[in-house]
Amino acid sequence: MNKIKEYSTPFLVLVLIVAVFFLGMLYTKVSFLEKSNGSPILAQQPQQPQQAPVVNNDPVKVSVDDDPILGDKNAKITIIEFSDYECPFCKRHFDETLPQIVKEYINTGKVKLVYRDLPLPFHDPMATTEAIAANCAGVQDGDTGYFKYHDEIFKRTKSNGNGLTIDDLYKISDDLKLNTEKLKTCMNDPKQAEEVKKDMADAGNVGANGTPAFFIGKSTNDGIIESVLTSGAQPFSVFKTIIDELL
Amino acid sequence: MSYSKVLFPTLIIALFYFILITLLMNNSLVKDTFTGIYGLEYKIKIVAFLLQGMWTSMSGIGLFLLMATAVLTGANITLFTQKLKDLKKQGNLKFIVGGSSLLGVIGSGCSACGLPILTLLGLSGSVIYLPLRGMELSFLSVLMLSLSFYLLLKPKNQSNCNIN
Repeated sequence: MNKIKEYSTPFLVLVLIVAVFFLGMLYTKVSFLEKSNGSPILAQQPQQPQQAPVVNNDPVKVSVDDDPILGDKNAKITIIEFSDYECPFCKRHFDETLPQIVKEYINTGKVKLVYRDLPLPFHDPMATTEAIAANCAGVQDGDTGYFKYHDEIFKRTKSNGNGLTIDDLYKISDDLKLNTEKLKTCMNDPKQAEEVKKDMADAGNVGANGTPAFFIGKSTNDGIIESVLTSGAQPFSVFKTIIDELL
Repeated sequence: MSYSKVLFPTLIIALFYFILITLLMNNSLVKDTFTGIYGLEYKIKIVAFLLQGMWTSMSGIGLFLLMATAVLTGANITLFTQKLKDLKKQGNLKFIVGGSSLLGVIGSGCSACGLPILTLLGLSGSVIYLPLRGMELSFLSVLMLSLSFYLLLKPKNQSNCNIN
């Protein structure tokens, strides 16, 4: 009897912790199913059939879709980045690693970067708003305009959802000499929100449920690359090793 | 019990734990690297640079908690192994060692990175509502491992027969 008592307390503590965790997961999933919002991190799923979500670690097929491209569109290697403008690690990647990738691979025509949106729920509403604003900048001024706006967001935000206000986004538009009234109208267009949601759904389908998430692969004619996920703000050396192997 | 008997195995286990967790955060890439048709140099570089990436892909607190969990896990396993005979005699197995190390594995990473360990289990959804996005699990793990470490170090009461 004493032995049972000795075992029971730590065992019960462990069971309690695991049970609370599973309950939390169950509650989260039920809440989102009730709101028909799909996975809590991955946001809304489109109605039409999609590629089955990734359940193993094999390479997946990832599409560049119609998202903005930095670099030569005919570059041999494609990096698809799923990113969140309010994610501090995405900002770290922008500050520390992207400049090296741009200098050594994008500016030399070897690699093109495709930026796709994956605003995380706990960085909203500004994460999604910033994604929409950047897309609207692209609508006005093409991919060049998109990436100028993208750069300004990352330079100015403090991340973690507290970075920028709506007025800051309008100021960026003014500073970049865009038509801010057109930007405002575009930002209110439901199609822009749908575009961001589509990116989020595609991210979920290929196993990217955190940011930054990278898929690095050989470019194809149909814009679909085959790659494994490289996750997190990895140093330039990781990208260099993978890209050099593909070249 | 000499320090060398404890320190060396602790550090080895801690290093192994640390490397394992860091590489698990990019399990797809690691698996593809090891199973794919790549040269040895490429494989070594990927592993080395992913380990280098722990400084950029984790927050300061996350990295500290991971290191603390690794060292405490090493210390716990070492002490537990050395005391296995005594524990068997006393019938006093330490459930807390396995459970808290598991918590440390689960809580590693960062929510922005997608908590890859949790996603392997399909459980990442619940932690996003925690204030520290899952880092609470790492804190809890360090706490439990520290407690376990203390309990393992605590000398057992021995009744002595005094010789008068």
